[in-house]
Amino acid sequence: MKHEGKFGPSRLSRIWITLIDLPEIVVPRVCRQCNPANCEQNCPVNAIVRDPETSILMVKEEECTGCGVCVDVCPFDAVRLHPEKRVALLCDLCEGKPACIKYCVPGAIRISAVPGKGVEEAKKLAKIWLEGVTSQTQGGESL
Amino acid sequence: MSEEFKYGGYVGKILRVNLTEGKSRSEPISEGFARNYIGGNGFGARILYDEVKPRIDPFSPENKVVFMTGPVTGTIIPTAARIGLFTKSPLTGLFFDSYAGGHFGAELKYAGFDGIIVEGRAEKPAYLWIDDGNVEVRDASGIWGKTTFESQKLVWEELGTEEPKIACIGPAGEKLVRVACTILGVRAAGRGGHGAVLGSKNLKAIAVRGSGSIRVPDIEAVEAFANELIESIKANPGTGRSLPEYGTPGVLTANNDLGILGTRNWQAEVFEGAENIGGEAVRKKIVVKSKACFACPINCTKYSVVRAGPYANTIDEGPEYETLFSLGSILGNDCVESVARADRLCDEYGIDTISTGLIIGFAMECYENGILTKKDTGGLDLRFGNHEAVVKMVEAIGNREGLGDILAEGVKRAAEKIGRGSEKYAMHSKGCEIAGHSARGLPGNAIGYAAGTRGGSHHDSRPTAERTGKVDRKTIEGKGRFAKNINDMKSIMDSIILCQLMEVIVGLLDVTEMHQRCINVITGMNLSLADVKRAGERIWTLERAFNVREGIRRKDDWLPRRFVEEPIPEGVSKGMIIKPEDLNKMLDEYYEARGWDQKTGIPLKETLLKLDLNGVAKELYQ
Repeated sequence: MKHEGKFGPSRLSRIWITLIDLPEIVVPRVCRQCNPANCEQNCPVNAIVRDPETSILMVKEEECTGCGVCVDVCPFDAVRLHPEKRVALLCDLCEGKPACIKYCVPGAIRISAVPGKGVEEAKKLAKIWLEGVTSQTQGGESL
Repeated sequence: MSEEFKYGGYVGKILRVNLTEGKSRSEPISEGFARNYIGGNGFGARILYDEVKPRIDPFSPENKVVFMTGPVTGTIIPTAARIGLFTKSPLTGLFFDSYAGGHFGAELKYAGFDGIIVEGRAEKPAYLWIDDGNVEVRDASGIWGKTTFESQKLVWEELGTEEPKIACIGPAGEKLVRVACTILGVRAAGRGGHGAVLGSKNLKAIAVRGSGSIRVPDIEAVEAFANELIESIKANPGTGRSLPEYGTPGVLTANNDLGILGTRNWQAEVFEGAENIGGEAVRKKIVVKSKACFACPINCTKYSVVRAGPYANTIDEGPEYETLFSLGSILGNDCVESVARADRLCDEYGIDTISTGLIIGFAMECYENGILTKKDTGGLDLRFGNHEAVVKMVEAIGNREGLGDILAEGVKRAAEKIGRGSEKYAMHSKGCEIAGHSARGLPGNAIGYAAGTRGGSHHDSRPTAERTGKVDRKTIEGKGRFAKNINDMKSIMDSIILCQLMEVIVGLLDVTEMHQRCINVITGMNLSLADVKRAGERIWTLERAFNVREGIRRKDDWLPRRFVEEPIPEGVSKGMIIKPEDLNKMLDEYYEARGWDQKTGIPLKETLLKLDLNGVAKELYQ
């Protein structure tokens, strides 16, 4: 909403949720700002760069070709392409004031620095997280 | 969207699907229609009044089911998740509206439609696939007979993606169980039996996926308004603390303490086992985590898992207060795990938990009084408090098996069929089973049950103001006007559409400036408060006109016998009763406030003309 000036979270937002199974389990999709990051390292045209001051990942929209490599390599499934502009949509932390944090009333979204944890750590976390999600869905009886 | 609708929030298009012909088309809405009827409830009422002819059988192809969002649906306004379902109810034979949260409503708007009108009857089982602007009627023979969750998974499998949001019916809807509901994801548009109407149309499911977006006139103004609402939600002890922590079950012990918790088919209003099924117990025993519908900061929903005992491994979204009442206290059942199990089964079969519970309560009272015997129940000891019997009866009703086949008709018809004096245990109004808020202990709420559009719905008046002491619940004075204002407020809430949990934030007693601001900030229509109030009156009166056309008169605006003859026997509210003369006094005041004829209950001609319902006036006074 902040970036596009209209409401369209199913394709336009840079943070979103996926509903898995029934009854649904909610899985948040959000950029973890990995450092180093898969998306940054694998971009064939170096369109994903870091802000020199803040080290926050950013997309140079004019250089992005919309190839989607970043979408495939993100261990958290947190990158997608803009449906019209066909450029990578990456969370840019709203210039230091993330709107999502303000709107998350239960307080589930926080910024916390995890120094020295790069891609490998991110992959490990993603794996644990996926296992956690699937284990929750097991054992549920159906009719 | 290429041609944009003049007002914000709306897509400006409604999808009409004719299942007989297997065809669909997109129809524009007009600016006047939006201004006069706002959305959701208003749109649904006007469409049904215009398109469903009087006296048709609800299960005939001539009946329609309207799915309708409101202008806020899919935006950032708190609780902007909702969608309404509108049909001529097979339970009451009258206008019926029912609402659900979840994610379906927002997705439908992103797919490019404010709503869907379903008409006709498919030759064989079908489902609808709406992928952005593309609409397809597809064969559903592979999913017919499947439960609601299984059906959704099969549709995902067939479409090759789990992205679509799905509304579907279960086996109960297919078998025309009159209390069948529609399940949208895991949320239920519960009441009134529209699931059976969809079943009669051979429509198993609607899958929708959308990549569009919603435009508003001034996004910063919308954001500021949303922030204001969020701050109020956080500051309010109900929406900011109790609902996030306990969800709606928090109300249960509070109602019990006030002596207004329906127990054993409303024989009593204090339940000795309330602590075992109250908010604290549910949280401690089964709740795993909180969840929220689309755009909702309240997160009242609870994801629950039963870990041990005979109902181990039951995963349930809920149970909500109404279900803990209907499958718990109303059945004398204090086993919360069995309520979760029965709730899950209701969701899977696709039946309304409130009506289902009241039906079982009716059967239990018949059984304890010898009207039904073990021969009727197939050997089941159908006593109050027998939680195994509760779960078995849910299955029997969902499948229309044995006694369940008769009970699947709802308490009114079941009592007619069983006879032998059973009708005095049938707790319904106009055929719709009574919901979980006291009539005897909350007189303003009783008017809703007696004179409301839907009968036994707790949204046709509201219990909150009386329950929380904002309005004196021990008096009948002024309650006719009270109920009238709440009708109008509810009509506006359900048209915008905001969740009823927002009533403490935007106005508990009447249409307010907050409703007006909400409509204007999203749509830019610039309606005055008087315009919005008149729209609320217009919508409610139009629903009444629909029912008048079906033969409803003042004589039908009444309560179940128990509430007018038997005082509450014990507890804090002991002795409270709605005596016939008191009910009549409140109804007199109500009709006067509404501008309806005192004798007949028909809206006066001048009332209809004042509300710009000239065509309706012509039809009712020809």
